Amino acid sequence: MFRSRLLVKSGEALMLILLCFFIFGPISGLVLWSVALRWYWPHVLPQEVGLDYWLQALGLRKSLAIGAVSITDSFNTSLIIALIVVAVVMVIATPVGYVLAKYNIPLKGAVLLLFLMPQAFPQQPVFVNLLLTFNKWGLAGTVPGVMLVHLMVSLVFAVWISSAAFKSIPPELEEAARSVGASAMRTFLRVTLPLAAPGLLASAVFVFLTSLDEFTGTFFIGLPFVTTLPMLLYSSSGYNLQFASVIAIVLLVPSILFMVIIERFLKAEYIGGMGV
Amino acid sequence: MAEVTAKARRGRGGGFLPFLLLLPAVGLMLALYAYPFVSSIYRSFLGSKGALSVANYAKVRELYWRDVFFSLEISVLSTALAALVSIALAAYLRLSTGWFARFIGAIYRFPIFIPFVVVAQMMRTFLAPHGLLNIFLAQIGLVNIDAPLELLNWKGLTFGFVWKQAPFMALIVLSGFEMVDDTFIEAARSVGARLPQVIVRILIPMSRASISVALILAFTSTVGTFTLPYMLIGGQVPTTVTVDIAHRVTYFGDYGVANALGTLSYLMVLALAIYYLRYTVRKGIYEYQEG
Amino acid sequence: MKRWMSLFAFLVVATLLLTACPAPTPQIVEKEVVVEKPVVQTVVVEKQVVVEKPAPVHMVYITAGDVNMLALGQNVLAPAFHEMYPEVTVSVVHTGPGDAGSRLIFEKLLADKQAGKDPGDVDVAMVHQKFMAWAMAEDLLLKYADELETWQYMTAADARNALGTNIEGYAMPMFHSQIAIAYNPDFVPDPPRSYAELVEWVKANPGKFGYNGIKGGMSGVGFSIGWIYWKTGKYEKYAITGPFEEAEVATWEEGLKELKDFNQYVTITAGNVGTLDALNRGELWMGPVWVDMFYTFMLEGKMDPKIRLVMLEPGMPGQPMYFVIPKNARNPEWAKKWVEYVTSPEVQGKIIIERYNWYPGIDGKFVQDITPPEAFERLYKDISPEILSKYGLSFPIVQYNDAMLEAYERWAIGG
Repeated sequence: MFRSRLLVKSGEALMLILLCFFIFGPISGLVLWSVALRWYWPHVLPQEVGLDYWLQALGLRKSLAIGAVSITDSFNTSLIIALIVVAVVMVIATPVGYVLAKYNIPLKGAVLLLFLMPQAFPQQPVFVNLLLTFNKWGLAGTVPGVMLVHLMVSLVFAVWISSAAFKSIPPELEEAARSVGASAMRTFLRVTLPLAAPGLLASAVFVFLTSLDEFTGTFFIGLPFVTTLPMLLYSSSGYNLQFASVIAIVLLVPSILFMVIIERFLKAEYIGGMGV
Repeated sequence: MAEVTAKARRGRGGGFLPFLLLLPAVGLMLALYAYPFVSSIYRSFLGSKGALSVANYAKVRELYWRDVFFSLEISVLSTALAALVSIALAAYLRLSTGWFARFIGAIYRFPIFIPFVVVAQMMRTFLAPHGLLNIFLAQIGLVNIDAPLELLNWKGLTFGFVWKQAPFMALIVLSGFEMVDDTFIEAARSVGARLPQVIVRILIPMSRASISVALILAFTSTVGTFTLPYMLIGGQVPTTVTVDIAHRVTYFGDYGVANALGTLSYLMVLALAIYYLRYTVRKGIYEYQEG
Repeated sequence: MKRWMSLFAFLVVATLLLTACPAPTPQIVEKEVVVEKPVVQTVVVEKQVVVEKPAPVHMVYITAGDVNMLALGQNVLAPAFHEMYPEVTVSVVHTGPGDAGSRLIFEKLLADKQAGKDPGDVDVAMVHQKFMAWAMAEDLLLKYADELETWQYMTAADARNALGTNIEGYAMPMFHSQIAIAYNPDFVPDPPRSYAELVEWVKANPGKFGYNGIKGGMSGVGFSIGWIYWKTGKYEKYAITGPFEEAEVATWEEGLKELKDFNQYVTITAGNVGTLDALNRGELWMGPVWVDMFYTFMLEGKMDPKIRLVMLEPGMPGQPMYFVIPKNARNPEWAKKWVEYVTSPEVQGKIIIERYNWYPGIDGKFVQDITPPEAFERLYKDISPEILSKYGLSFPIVQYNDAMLEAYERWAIGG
């Protein structure tokens, strides 16, 4: 008995080590390159390290090194886009989630399919054609154009998760509120909404991160005038590895931060209820 | 249950309201998604003079046929591997308790929200012949650095996709597993079911919906990802359809062939969906009905 | 029912309020990029600029190319120009690497023209050669170059002709960049000096030569086009005299099939930078690179300083990048001053050569005295001006260029 427990524990430890190696191994390359000032073969580690590229990227030091551009502008662009997208998506997706959870409307399948499609089919060809349309409407290369694209891409998560959140609220609670005379509005605001709030928050986080990290749509629609962080990373990866690594790490921070938040609020039922 | 509530609601006369609530979101999706989606298919059949033709497909057949299959193979392989890893991981996290499990449960989510551009950047420095992985393996004596593992090809690409997709799939699959009541597992254990049997006979069949959602999401984003293959294998032969689409658009301004390639990538997803549905229908629903 | 309607009304109002939100934001973000307001003022003001109180001018400079182009505009040129003319601020917009970046600029200008936007959003643009054929065909550009002070320094042929399109007066080259073969003398003491020698070397050292195919950037495209020049010996016809004849395409088949065989012995890298990265990590001993990127890598500590350059006989392509001014520019006079400034011998010697490692856009003899000797020496050490003028070729004219790329896909990849 003791022996087999030991076996299990060492198996778990091995799994943990492997997992750490494969998850953090690739990331360690980024960290090394972001501080490497001189590094070439046959040296297996950087010959010279320093924070120069970090200081340049964060705008703390003005440098004329080639390929050094400040990331603060595109960071702000990314942030503003993501925040507004979250607000709009939540407002238009929450009612959809509510309807899908609480009503048995005709064509429900078709509606679900419509929201599923951007995640169910490759997006790139759609963006290529959306660009032609947006050119006509004057939306190509504008921030609202990019927001619309992010909106479209992230709507599905918001609809799914919020629908699952509403579904997990027992109808009896609402019935009870109604039966003691609360109006539908009041019931929704005082009973349904607070109960669904953690789920809605989780879906907001999902939408926020989707927007922050969106690349392909921004690439086709946003260029040349809208430079989000992933776009800046892409263009500098073509030139300056150190600088690109700095941006990559900056992009990791919100992911980690929100992974912690999401764990608090994302109940299993919300994700388990996706697409059902 | 849902039937009853729905009927009750409709009885109260909410008939018109739900449609109004749906309107903004559905309208947006029709304009921003459905329209360009349909027009990408339509344009793939437009020849250079604007008449209907299959010239674009002929060019795809001539120049990119191998890439179409390569994309399909890579996507199927990556999704299958990611599914295995994620199911194993989710099963472990569902059935284990203790310090290790909690720690693993915390760190496995790490890659979920890392954008593909960043993944590509990482994999490039990690997997290269003289990259960190090979250097590390050489230091511990597993690999001769003069004949390193060659990973900047389909192998590395698959690794990159699995690295990014498996945790995301595990998140979805795990939440499916967690909705399986403990009593089922206890019951199976008490009649002597071993761990693999619990997974295959209890957890997986009862979480079929979550698993299919995870599969579809992962497969689609794998088929449609441009940055990872572009930055990892770029112009190698064969390459993925997404690299070809970008190549047609940026070098030639040729939307026709790009759309034909795009339409083929829709077909790939459709093929998987149909295959999967047939498989689950045969395996699942029929079993229930007949058995 | 009524209560439901009030809930619905609440949601609709909320939706409208929030969907209305995106409208103000573009101003926040685009303020630095596109300026909507001073339209009327500036057009009138141009001629009074020298007079007492100049109105503020906002100029938009849009550039294709790698991120160094953005850094050059943002960190170097725009601040310097602002110092000379304090009333002028220049916003720099970057579209991305390669012809793709130029394509975006072309599509932007074309969309503005088709929408009848006058004045348009762009004052001056930095583009690749291919752009010129597209833009000239659509009549998007202002003829301005021959009015400039610095036009006298433009002696190179590519200031007048870009890939077979006559562009005299419509474009000013800012720099010239060249593709060459980088090699590590530790492993390759006696590098091949022609395509023919390279083929032999590659067979003797499989996997140690690498390039990026044709889907990952121009250094690979250039290497492959050089291959076709070598196999056909028709550089003059393809790149200079023309005309395009469909029949030529079939004659490339054999040469490209040999390239396919050659590819069996080489490593295909991911992108221009992929080749440089592999050289940095010592995985490759040899590979085609852009000369400016190569030296920049070296200055940034990412390239062993021992690595050197060589040009292959019968030659390899290079290309300039051009300044162009759209017809509907808002501030054409300032745009001309901007171009004049950047093409001045001072800027060419101190910035283009010394800091960015490009060959100058203007005739080298006007900058020789201005450039610090060590920078001049570095740039011409491995590739002397004689070799450069002998082996530095142009890319083919547009139709041949497209046909070659597709022929490569057909025969060197084989679908």
